[in-house]
Amino acid sequence: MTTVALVALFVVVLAVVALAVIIVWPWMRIVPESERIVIYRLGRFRSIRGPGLTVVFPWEQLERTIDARNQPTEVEARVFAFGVPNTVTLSFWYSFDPARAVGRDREKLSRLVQLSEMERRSQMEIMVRDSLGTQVSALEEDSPLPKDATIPERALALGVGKPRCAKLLTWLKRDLRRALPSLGIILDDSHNIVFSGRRISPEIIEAFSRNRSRTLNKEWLKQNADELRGLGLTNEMLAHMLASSTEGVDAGHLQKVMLSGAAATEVEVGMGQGNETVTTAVKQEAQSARPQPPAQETEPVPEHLTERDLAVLKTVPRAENRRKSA
Amino acid sequence: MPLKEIPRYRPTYREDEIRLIARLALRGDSMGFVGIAGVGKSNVVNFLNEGRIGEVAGKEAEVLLFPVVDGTYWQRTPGSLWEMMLDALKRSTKHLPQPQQDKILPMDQEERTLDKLRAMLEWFCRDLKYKVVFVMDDFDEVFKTGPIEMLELLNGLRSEGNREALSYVVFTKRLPHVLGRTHNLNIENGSKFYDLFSKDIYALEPYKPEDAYQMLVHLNEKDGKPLQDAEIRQVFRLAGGHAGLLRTVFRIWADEGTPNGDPTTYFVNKHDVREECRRILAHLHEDEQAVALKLARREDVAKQKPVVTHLARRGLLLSKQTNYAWFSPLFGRFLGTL
Repeated sequence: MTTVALVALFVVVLAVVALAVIIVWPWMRIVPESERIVIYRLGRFRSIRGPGLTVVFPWEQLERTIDARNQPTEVEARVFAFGVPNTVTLSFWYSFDPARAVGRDREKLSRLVQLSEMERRSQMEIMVRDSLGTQVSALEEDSPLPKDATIPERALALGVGKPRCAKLLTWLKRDLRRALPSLGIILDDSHNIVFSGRRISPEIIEAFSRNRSRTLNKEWLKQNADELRGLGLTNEMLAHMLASSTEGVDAGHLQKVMLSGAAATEVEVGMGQGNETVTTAVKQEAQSARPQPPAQETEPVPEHLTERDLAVLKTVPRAENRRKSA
Repeated sequence: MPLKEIPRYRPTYREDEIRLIARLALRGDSMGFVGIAGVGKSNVVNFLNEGRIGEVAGKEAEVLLFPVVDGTYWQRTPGSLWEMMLDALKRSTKHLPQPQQDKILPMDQEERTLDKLRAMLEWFCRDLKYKVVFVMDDFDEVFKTGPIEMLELLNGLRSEGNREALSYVVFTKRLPHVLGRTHNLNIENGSKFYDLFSKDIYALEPYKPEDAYQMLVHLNEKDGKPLQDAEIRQVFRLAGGHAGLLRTVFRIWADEGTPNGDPTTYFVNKHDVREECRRILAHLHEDEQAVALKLARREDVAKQKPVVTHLARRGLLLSKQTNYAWFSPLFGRFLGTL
């Protein structure tokens, strides 16, 4: 081929390429590393593209852009662990990568990309909380605490650095690694899941000191009951002293039951964590031998519920009742 | 694949309560729920917090946001309440565009928090047109302790241009105005905050049979199906629709196997069941406790008929023609042992 022909051929090829680039250029997209684009064709899901240079043809639509960054997040959850309520904050790293999560299954890909960020986030939180609850239950079975474990021991069972905590986080990571891809989410294995925050109810913290003082009160009253009776304190007074230092027992209720007048009345009062009970006995013959305290020395009776009070509460309207009346 | 096949909630979980909340909240109205201890208040709160109201109440309810404030963590100061409300609002709007930070902030910490709360409410309610419904869970102590000025500020947040877009759903174990007797909430001009929901205080009753059954089936599935269907129904019969008792009885049955002899006698002697029943009783008002004990001892309660009706309204008693039955045979038997 002569030089002229070669040059002419070269020019033609160059022109064709240039024309192609000019035509295709507006359809070209540069997708950053942190993003992916969802392509629909004639209204149906076609593919996920990126990162890098990609072409979106005129008969295709760029339906949405998805954030594919590897990013940290936190999910707060409330969970009962070993009988103690905890509010924990779980921290982990993840990325939304549906192609990696479900491979080439176009139907699954199509479903995943239709979720909005908000919906996916919400479902992820539900899944994390659910998994946490399941793994805590499994941990309680696998590594139970002794039946007589105190509240502090129960509260500290999931302390950071404790073997149970490490086991829980390992199981949680394994479970989420398996489950999160159903949302197109990939857990970043290079970062551990950690508890970045944990709160225990102030009631539990109060219970530490209350438990201690309750035990002391009970022991002291038991040991000194005879001496106290000798000083003129009646069984009712002793029971009231004990009840008023015992969490969850209504002192007024206890008093009313005891004063309601059976020949021998026994009241069993559950003391909380253990199986301890306190039994107080009022025997008719013992009562008659001992002078009753005057009425004004007892605790004032709590304010009663009036008819006006009781009229406040309503019943939730039920759909089945409305259907019946219709 | 989803983690579990049996969902925790049916599509119509607490359908009537959820629809009621949605209906009132969409109007910007507040309300209260009074429920016995362990009846499942927290499950309703979690359901709202997870943004699932649309599943029961329809798409129009998706404009509702439910930040949850847990009253058990309240530090007994107004400042801590504002902090909790601000945190709750931030958590429930994490997925939404956030407002610009105000560059001029008050020096006082409490004022600063309140200002941020107001700014966020203005942004979400007025600018983004959402309706914010603060869920005040376990609010008994707040009503009891006050101060009244703090409660009135809750109404004040509404008055600042958010009237139809900000409301409250309050959960307590006792009637709010009885808890807050010292503040005279229910007298005329007593409390504008209380007036917001005083006409809409509802009893949160134990679960309907379908919801209780769903809960048990879910627990059973999670646990590897230790119970047969007939046993699940037995658990429901013993515990009524009370979430705490359902969980406790199920746990004992799953751990210890089918009870020997009469199941009611067997379970009422279990420590955990007695604890749960004790908790229910302890959180009732003294008058409710007294009438409950009288009913258990089959004494005459003709003079306390309004309290009996009140207990029935709370779901503790089920009306059966000429007399009443307890929502749970276990609870009835427990009362009888006192």
